[in-house]
Amino acid sequence: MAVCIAVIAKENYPLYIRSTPTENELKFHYMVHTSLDVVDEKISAMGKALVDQRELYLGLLYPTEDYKVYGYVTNSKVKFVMVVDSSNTALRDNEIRSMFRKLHNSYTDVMCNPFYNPGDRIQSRWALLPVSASSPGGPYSRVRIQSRWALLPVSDPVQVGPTSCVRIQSRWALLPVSDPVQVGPTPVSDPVQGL
Amino acid sequence: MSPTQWDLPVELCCRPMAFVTLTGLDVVYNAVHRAVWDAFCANRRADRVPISFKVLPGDHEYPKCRPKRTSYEWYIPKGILKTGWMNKHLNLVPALVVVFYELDWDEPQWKEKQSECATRVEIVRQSLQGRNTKVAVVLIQKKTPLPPGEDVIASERAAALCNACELSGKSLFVLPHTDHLVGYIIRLENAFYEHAQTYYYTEIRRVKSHKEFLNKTTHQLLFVRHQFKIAFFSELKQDTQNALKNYRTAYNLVHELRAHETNILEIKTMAGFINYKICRLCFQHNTPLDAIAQFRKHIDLCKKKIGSAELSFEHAAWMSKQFQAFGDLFDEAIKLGLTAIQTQNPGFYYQQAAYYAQERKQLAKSLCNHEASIMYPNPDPLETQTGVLDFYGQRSWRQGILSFDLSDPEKEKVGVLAIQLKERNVAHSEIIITLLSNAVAQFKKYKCPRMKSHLMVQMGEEYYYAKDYTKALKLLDYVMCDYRSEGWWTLLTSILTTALKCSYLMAQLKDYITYSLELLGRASTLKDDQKSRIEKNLINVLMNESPDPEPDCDIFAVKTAQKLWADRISLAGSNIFTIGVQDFVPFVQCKAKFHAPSFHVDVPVEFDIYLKADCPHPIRFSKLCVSFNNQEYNQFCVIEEASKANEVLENPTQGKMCLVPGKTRKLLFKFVAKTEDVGKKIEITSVDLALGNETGRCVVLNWQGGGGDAASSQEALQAARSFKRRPKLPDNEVHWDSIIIQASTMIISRVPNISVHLRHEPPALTNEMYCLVVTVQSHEKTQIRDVKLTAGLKPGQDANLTQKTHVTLHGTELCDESYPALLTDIPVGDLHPGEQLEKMLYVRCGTVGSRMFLVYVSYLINITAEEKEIVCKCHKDETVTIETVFPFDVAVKFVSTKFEHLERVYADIPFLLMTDLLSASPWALTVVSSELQLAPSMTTVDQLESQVDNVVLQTGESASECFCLRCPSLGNVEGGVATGHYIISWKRTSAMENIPVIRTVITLPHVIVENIPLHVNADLPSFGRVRESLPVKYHLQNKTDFVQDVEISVEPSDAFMFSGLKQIRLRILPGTEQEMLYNFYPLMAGYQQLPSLNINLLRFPNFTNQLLRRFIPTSIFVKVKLKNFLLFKFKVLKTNRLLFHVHFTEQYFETNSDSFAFYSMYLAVLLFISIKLLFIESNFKDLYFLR
Repeated sequence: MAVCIAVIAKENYPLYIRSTPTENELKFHYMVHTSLDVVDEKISAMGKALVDQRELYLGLLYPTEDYKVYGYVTNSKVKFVMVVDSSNTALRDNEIRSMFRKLHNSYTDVMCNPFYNPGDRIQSRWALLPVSASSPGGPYSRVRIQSRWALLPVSDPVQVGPTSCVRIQSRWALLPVSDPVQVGPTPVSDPVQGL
Repeated sequence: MSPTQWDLPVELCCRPMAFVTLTGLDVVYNAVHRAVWDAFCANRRADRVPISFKVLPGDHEYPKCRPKRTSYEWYIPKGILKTGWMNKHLNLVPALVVVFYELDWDEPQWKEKQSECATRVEIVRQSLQGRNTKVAVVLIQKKTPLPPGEDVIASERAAALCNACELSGKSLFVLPHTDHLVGYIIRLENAFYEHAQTYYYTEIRRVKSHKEFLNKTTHQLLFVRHQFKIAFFSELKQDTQNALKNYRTAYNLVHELRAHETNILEIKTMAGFINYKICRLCFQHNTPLDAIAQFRKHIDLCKKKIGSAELSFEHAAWMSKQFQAFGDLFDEAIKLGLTAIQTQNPGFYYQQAAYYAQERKQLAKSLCNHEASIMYPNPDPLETQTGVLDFYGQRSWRQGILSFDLSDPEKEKVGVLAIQLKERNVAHSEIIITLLSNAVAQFKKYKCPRMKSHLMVQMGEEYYYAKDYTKALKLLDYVMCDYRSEGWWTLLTSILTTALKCSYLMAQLKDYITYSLELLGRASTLKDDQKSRIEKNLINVLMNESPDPEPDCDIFAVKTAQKLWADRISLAGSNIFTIGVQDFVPFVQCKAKFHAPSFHVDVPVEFDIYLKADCPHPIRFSKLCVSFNNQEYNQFCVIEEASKANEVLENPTQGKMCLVPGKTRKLLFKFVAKTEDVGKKIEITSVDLALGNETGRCVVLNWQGGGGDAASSQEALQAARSFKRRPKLPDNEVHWDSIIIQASTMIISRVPNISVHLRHEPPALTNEMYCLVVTVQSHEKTQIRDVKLTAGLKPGQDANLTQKTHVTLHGTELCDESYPALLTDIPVGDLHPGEQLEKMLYVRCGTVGSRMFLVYVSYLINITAEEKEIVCKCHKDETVTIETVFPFDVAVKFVSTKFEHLERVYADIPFLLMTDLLSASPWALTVVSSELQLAPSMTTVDQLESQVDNVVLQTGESASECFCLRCPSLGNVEGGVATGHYIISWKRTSAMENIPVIRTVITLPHVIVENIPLHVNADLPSFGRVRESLPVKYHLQNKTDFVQDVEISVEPSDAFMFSGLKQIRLRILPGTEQEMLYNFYPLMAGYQQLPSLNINLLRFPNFTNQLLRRFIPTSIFVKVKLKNFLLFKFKVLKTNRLLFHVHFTEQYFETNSDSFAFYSMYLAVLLFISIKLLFIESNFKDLYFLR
């Protein structure tokens, strides 16, 4: 499993960073930050050509001695960065891809939360994705079920309470419209699949 | 830096080249020899063969060759590779020894010389005892040799010499010392190179031949050694492909060696050497991917081979060196043309090298923390007899011992201690910083700004550990803004923490305060307890006391720092620091907001300063001042602790000066704007907030403009995007995010309280004195003074309008060009409340089109605002768009006397000029008079007096005039003849008496004048009567200077009988006139064609009857006598009802004329109206003809 997962805003500031070895968090912060160099370069290399067919997955950004850093960029230029242990050979490109896809779905769910303000740091009681290696393959499905509400920002618990019933009914009606790309067009971010 | 144990040996890193020694050259005293030597060693570019030359004396002793081993059975090697071996074959054992000897073929003392040469060769052979080194002889000759085969003596003597020296013919060379020295030298070199290659080939064969004697149990080390030697010789032979192959084999063999703690260093060292060679050759072969793959493999294999735990820092050092060496190789390859990419460049290797260097430092720190009392062991276990090790990678205290058991544990312990103590003296930070700065340089090149920043942070931290705080601060300060601008607060906080330590340890006041401010701010991710500590320290510093030391600082450094702080405290001097906040995120936020985007000058300007502190504890500020672009207002917007009951403060309590964390503090300011600033922008240029007081230390936070720091723009954007409903706050409290900075306001003039009305009758007519009545009425409560009126064309319109528009106050005289388009500041005087005044303006517009007119009334009034008497200047303006139109259209046409339209007029023949003046004005116009001014070429036939004097024209009405003119012959004038001007004097009917009359001059069109040879005019009555004689006289005038033959004929007509000449041919003398008299007798009534007169001019065939018809009438109205007239009319009338009567009457008239009276009475009743109408008609026709 990944040792560190980060969601970076379009403007390149972190929305969410979580790493498993919490004692050396700073190292992962730096690692994610420096990987943005490569992400930027890859995005600019992609250019404007073929926006629809563009591959969101950026692949391996750069290898370090102990870790591999992978990147993914959504159509709205939100970047996902994942750091995995170099020694973990079980994670091939396909696994990384699917992890990113799930991360993207989770992120879409966060965006769908009417109480989340796009661009705010994601403060979640639950990790956006499990970064621990507790049970390979498994944890996603488990977290998926829970994370539907778990990804809500907990900063303002008062708001969550009284309106929760309204929210269930109007989950899509209350979608923020300021960032349409994240809501509709990309097939991977289809919110219905996310459910 | 001197080479350390970990640096790769020079002989490994260089490119191996064949070693050739030159003997017999006296390069010091012999100029010829010197030149030869220079030619060998100068200019050794890539196109020359790779040989390293050395000049040695002929009797030089070469390293002795050990006796050949016949059997390896009992031989046990003591190590993998001797430390001297590479150097020996690079610099000591030559592949070829060249003996230089001066000898010409025609040398008189040939025999002696030949034997001397042989002796020299022999001496060289002696010193090379047992080696396979080749020997060659070069004869330096003064003469140019003849082509081979021609010099018989030469070939003979050469054979003899070879024989004497026991040389093959291939080893004897001749070097003529002539002009082409370099060319000869290059040829010699190539020959030497071949010999050298042969030598190395035999060496390789020799080493290979040992292989068969080896066995795998005892000679494992030798396998590696031999393989390495073969590869190295191949390299010397410049056979890099084979060299690479052999190195690869050697590399695999190294890892097959049985590794143990005792020999792991040796194995790693050799593996490192071989790996270096492989990577180097791969880069040389332009296969960088192979090099990288090999290096990765190498690292993966060796990473875990740490060896002795007590000396694990050695492994880190070795690893670091591996990465560094590879980075160097990579970089070198790039310099030679290889292209690297962002994700694969030397920077990564330097970075990793630095990482291992850091690890080495960590390990060394934990492993080498011996107490000071432990002395360096004596005798030094690291010393060897020769000063160097025999084999690479062995321990000096147990060289050559292959056993895995430690024979002497005590000795081992001392050795380890010695290494550990030595490690303690290594300047780790220096190594790390060098590596990091190498990496920085690389990442800069490959567009990795963030990686660069990260490495610079590491460099800064390393400088901090190395206690070079100045450099540390410089680096950290440099990168801080990158992290700040991208909003990576965690990283920024970590950098700031280090920076704060540095500034504390150096007692840098300003930096210390700046970093503290930011660490307390909202961008900092520090825990609250940390923040409280920093805040406490900051308060201490502001009170001119020493702060507590930062945690995790070196104790000794802290002591020095405390001394420095103490000095700072005692030092008087500038204790006020001004810190611009726009580049960082301080813990106090500020926003300034004017209440409105504009203020009237009679109302006080009000604005709020919002302050918010993010620190954990409340903090007091001592002063707040606001600066404006007009500095005169600064004095009104200051809050100071000392000042009592500041009037601009709402409730000047001391609590105002205290900022409670998380609470937004609002401070209201008010001032009265200066009247000079009306129309100007008042801008807050900066807000200064002073913390601390001037007796202690004072920090002034300076916000540019209306507040905002490095992070606030992003926050404002987020806040604007937010959908969150903000919880309700008590009154007079606001949400910080909802405050939007408004740093400037406009001062606008007081709202005028007067009314300005305009009265006029649009549209204006061209050139008229258009009257505009301006009414100004005061609604002010007090008297207004100095009322001024500015009126006229509104500036900023088309420049042509300005030229063609004139404004005056006096309507009685016409204004000309000298009048302005805009009258400014016409003093009107004072106005009492409610008073009204009226002013007339006259505008003259020279062109049509719409114009904007401006009427601007300004006045002064005394006002009391905020208990201050100010004089306000108010103004009110009105604009009005006025269309200007032509008052009338004038149409002019030329017609003949028959009122037929004329394209051209005929010389000397009268014609008519008709003018038609059509009013286009919506208002009635009075044409005062008109005047025709004829051009000199025109003459009038009758009086030219105006026919339209004082005519009033309503819209759409027209007034026409008709003048009879004549144009004398002028010959042929191009473009026609000027006719003159038509001048109309007019005014509006509604205009007052004293308004001047406008004269509009119309230039009449030019007319083309044509000469005709014959002019005919007819003299005939205006009408004829049926059956009454009608005399007609035709006048034929010859207008030419020739005698004209004229043929005249008259066509008969049904309506007339006539007497006179029916056909005649006559001559008319120049300038004379011929009269023709005819007597026509009309037979029918009505418009009748006259018998047509046909004239033929024999000289002028162009003179046609068509032309003639223009001058003479072709028809005439014939009236009836009463009796006949009625009869005629009855015939004509087509009314069915009357038809019967008509026929009846006709018959009756024929039969009985006496009864006519009776019937005419009868019919008159029926036809009264028709007849009457016909009479009127005929009368009118008469009139027409009379004219």
